[in-house]
Amino acid sequence: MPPPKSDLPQGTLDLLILKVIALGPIHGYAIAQRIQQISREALQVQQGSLYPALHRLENKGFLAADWKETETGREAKYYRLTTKGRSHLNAETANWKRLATAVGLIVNFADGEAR
Amino acid sequence: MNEKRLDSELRFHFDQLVADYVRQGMSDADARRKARREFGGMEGVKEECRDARGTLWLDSTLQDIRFSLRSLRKNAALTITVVGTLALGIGANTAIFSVVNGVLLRDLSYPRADRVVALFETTPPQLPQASAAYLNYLDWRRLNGTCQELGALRWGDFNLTGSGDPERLHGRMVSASALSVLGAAPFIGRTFTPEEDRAGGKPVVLISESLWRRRFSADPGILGRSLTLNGNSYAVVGVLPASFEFPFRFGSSVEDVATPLAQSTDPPMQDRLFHPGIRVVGRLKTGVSVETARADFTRIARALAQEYPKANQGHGISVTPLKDVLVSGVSGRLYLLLGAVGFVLLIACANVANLLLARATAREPEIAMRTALGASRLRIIRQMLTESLLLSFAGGLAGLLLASLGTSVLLKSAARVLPRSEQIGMDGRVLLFTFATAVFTGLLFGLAPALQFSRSQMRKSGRGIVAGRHAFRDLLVVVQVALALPLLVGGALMIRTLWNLRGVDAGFDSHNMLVAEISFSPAAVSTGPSIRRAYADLIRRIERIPAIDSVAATGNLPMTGDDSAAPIWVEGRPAPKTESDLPIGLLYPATPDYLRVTKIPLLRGRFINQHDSEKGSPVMVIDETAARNLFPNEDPIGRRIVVGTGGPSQIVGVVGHVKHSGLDDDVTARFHLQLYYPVVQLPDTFLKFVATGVQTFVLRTTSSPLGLDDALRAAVRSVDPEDVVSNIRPMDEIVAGTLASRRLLLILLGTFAGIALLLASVGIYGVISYSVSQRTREIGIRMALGARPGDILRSVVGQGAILSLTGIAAGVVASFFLTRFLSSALFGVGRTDPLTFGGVAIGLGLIAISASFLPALRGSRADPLAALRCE
Repeated sequence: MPPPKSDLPQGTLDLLILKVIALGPIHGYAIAQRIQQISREALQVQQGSLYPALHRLENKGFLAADWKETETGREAKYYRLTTKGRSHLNAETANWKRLATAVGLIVNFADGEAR
Repeated sequence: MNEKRLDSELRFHFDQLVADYVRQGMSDADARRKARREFGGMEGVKEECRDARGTLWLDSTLQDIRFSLRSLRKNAALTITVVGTLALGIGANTAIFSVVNGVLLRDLSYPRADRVVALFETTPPQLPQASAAYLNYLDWRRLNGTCQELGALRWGDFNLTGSGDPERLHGRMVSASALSVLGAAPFIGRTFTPEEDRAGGKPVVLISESLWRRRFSADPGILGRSLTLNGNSYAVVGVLPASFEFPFRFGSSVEDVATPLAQSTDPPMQDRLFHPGIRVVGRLKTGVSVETARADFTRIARALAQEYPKANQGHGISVTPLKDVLVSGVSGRLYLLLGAVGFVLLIACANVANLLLARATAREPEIAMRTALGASRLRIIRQMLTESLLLSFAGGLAGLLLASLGTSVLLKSAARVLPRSEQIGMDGRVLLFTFATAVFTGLLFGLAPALQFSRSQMRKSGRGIVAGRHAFRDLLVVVQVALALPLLVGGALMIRTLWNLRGVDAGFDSHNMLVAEISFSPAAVSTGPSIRRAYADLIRRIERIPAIDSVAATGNLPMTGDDSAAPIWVEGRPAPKTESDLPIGLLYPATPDYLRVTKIPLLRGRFINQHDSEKGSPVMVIDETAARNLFPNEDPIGRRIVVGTGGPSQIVGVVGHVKHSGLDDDVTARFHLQLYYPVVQLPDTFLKFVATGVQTFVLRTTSSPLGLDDALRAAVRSVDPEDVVSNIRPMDEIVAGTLASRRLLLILLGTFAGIALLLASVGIYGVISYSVSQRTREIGIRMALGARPGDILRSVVGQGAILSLTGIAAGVVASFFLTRFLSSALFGVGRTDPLTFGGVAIGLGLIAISASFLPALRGSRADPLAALRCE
C-alpha cells in the first residue's frame, strides 16, 4: 500500500525540480524518480505536470538542456541549472523556508488552541 | 524540429517506465499497459508543454492554417462555391475600385497637380463653364494676384505635308506660360520662350514622342529640323515625353504638335465677343486657397465687366481644381457603381455566411470532440476565423484575376466615355483595397459560424422534434433580397431609359449617312474664292462616287461635341443692353444639300440653295424652335436677324428641330435655337478662319455607308493631293456613341443585378433546403398524423415567401431612396416609376418562391417512415 500522495501547493513543483536538477544534469524520468525516492514515495510527480513545468522553466531561462546519451546508449534530454536558475532557486528556497516556518507556527499554534 | 524533440523526450520517459516495470517482473505487455495508463494522454502532455513554452504565435497560426487547408480540401465542393462567390464579389469591387482609383483618386500627372486650377468664363444661365475670350484671358493673367502663373490652351489641328503622306495631326496652340503651369518637360530641347509666344514670333513647334518616333524615326538630331504645318514651316524646338498629356482631352485623340498660341492670327482671338475655345489653367501661389483665388477672380470679372460692358456684362470667372473639372461628368456615376458593387459583395458575404453556418452545424460533433480533447473555445473560434480568412484570401486572389480581366474588357468599351481611362490599372492602392476587402469579408462572414458555435452548446440541450428557427439565417436571406432589389430596380430603370432613347426621333435620319472630316490643302485656303471653289469641287467630285446620293459640308454636326454658337438679335426689336441678355443660337454654316443629306424636314419656305452665293443677299434658315421662340404668332419668313458681330440676314425658311447634343437633348437646355446659313456667304476673313479648321462633310449613301472609305479618299485626292481625309464613320455610330455612357452604366448595373439575383436565389434555396433537412422528423410526424404533401409544400414555400416578401418590402423602401443617385442618367422614366418597381418586386418574388419550391417539393415527397427513422 503506497503512502497517501500529497498534493503539491502551487509553485512547489518548480522548486522541487530546480532543487533536484541543482544536484547535477539529469533527465526528466530521473527527476520524477528522484523526487519520489527523496520524498520517500510521498510525492509522485505526474508526467502531465512534470514536462510542462520543465518546458516552462527552460523557456524562462532557469534551465538549459543538452541531448546526451544515457548509460543504456539512448539519447535523452538532460536538464541543468543556469546561473539565473541557481539564483532563482536560492531565492525560492529562502522563500519556502520562510513560508514553511510561518505556516508551521500557525498550524502548531492552532493545534495547541484546540488541545 | 521542436515537435520531434518533444516526442522523443516523452517517449524516452515512457520507455524507461516500461523498462522499470519489466525489471520489477511484469510481462512486457502488462508493463506497457500500466505505463500507458499512468502516463495519460501523450498528446495532452505535449499540448501542455507547447503551451508552457508559450509556443510562438506563428507556430500555432501555421498549425491553424494547415488544419484549415486540410478541412477545406475535404469539403472541396463547398470550398469552390465559397471561393467562387467571393471571387465574384471581390473581383467586381476591385474592378470598379480600380476605375475609381485611376479616374478620381489618382493625382493628375503634373507636378504638384493639386495646385493646378482650371478657369472658365461664366455667363449664367446659358453657360456655366464657357471658354474664355482670349483678350479677357490676357487681362486675367495681368490683373490677378493669386496665381503664380496663368496659361491658355486651344485646340489646333494641322495638316502635315512635306515628307511622306500628308497627315492630319491633332495639336494644341498653347501659351508658353501654360507649359510652365503644367510642368511640361521636353526630353529633347525646350519649351517656348516668351519671345516665341507673341504675334509675329518665330514659328516653332513642340512635337510628341510618338510623332518623333513615327515620322522622324527617333532622330536624336531632331532640333533644327522643321515641319510643314498648314503649308508653313515650323522649327522643332523640343520633344515632349509620351507621359506628358495636355488636359481637356477628348476621347483617345493624342496631340502630336503644339505651337505658340499668341502667334495665331485667327480674327476671333482679337475680339472679346468671341470665345474661341480658350481653356485657361493656373497654378496657385503657395498658401493660396481655391477660395481666395475665386474671390480674386470675381473682383477681376467685375472690373472687366465695367471696362468692357458690351462683351463682359454679367460674365464671371470660375476657378476649380483641374482634376475636379476633368472628372466632373463621371464622379457621381462612378461612386454610384462603387456603391452598387458594394451591395453585390454584401450579398456574397451573406451567402457565404449561410453556407458556412450550415457547415458549422454539420461540424458540431467534430467541435464537440475537440472541446472534449481540451481545445479552448477561443482556440476553436480562432480556428474558424482562420478558415474564413483563408477562404476570403483565396477569393480575393481569384477576384484579382477576375478584376484584371474585367477591367480590360471594361476599358475597351469605356475608353471613349471615361476621362483619364489610361490611368486605370492595378497599383498599390488597388491591391490594398482588395486586401482590405478580403479581410473585411472574411471577418464578416466568419463571425457567423463563430457565433453559431458559441450558441451551439445552448441549443443542444433543447433539441426536440421541431427544429428551432434560425433567426440569424432568416435575417441573412431577408438582407440578401433587400440588397438585390435596388440593383434590379436600377438595372430595370436603365433598360427603360435606353429603350426610351432608342425611340427618340433625332430630327434627322442617321441611317445610310456617312461622315468624313476633310482638311483643305494650304493652297486651297489661301483666298476666299479659292476656299469657295474647294467646297464646290469637293462636293461635285464626291457626288460622282456611285453609291453616293448627295453630299454637303457643315461646320457644326449634331452629337459630335461641336457647338458653335453666338448671341442672336432680331432686327427691329429693342437693342439689348448687354450681350448676355440675348438668346444664344446654334450656328450651322452649311452647303445647299445639307437638308437632303440629313433628311431634316423643311417646314416652311426654302432651304439655302446654289443661288445664295457670296454675291447674293445674306440668307438664313431657322428651326421650328427658333421660329416659335423668336417669332411667337408671327411669320418669321422675310424677317432679318443679326448673329454675333455680323450683318443682318433674311430668314427664308423654317426646318425641323434637331437633337443637337444627343438623343436625350432637352428642349429647355442651354442651346435650342438653331440657325443655318450658307457657308459661302461668310466674309473672306472668317471663311479663311473656318477653312483652316477641319471641314465636316456629310454624305447620304444609297445603301450601307460602310466600305466607301477608299473611294472617298481617292475622290478627295483627285481634287487636291494635299487635302487630307480623316475620321470617316457612319452617322449611326455617332448617334450610338451618345448612348455609350448610359449603355456602359446599364451593362455594369445589369451585371451586378444579375449576380445579385443569382446569389440571392442560391441563398434562399440553401436556407430552405437546410430548413427542410432540419425539419425531416417534424415533417415525418406531421405526415404520419395525416398531413398531405400539399400541406407540407405550402408550409415550406410559405416560409420562403415570408422571408422574401420581407426582403422585398425592405428593398423597395431602400430603392425609393437609392434611385436618387441614378436620376441624372434616366430618360423618359421617373426614378420611382411604379411600373418598374412593381415589375421588379413581383419578378424577384416569383424567383424567390421558385427557389424555395424545389426543396419544399423534396420535403413533401419524403417517406414518412424514413423521415421518422432519421437521426
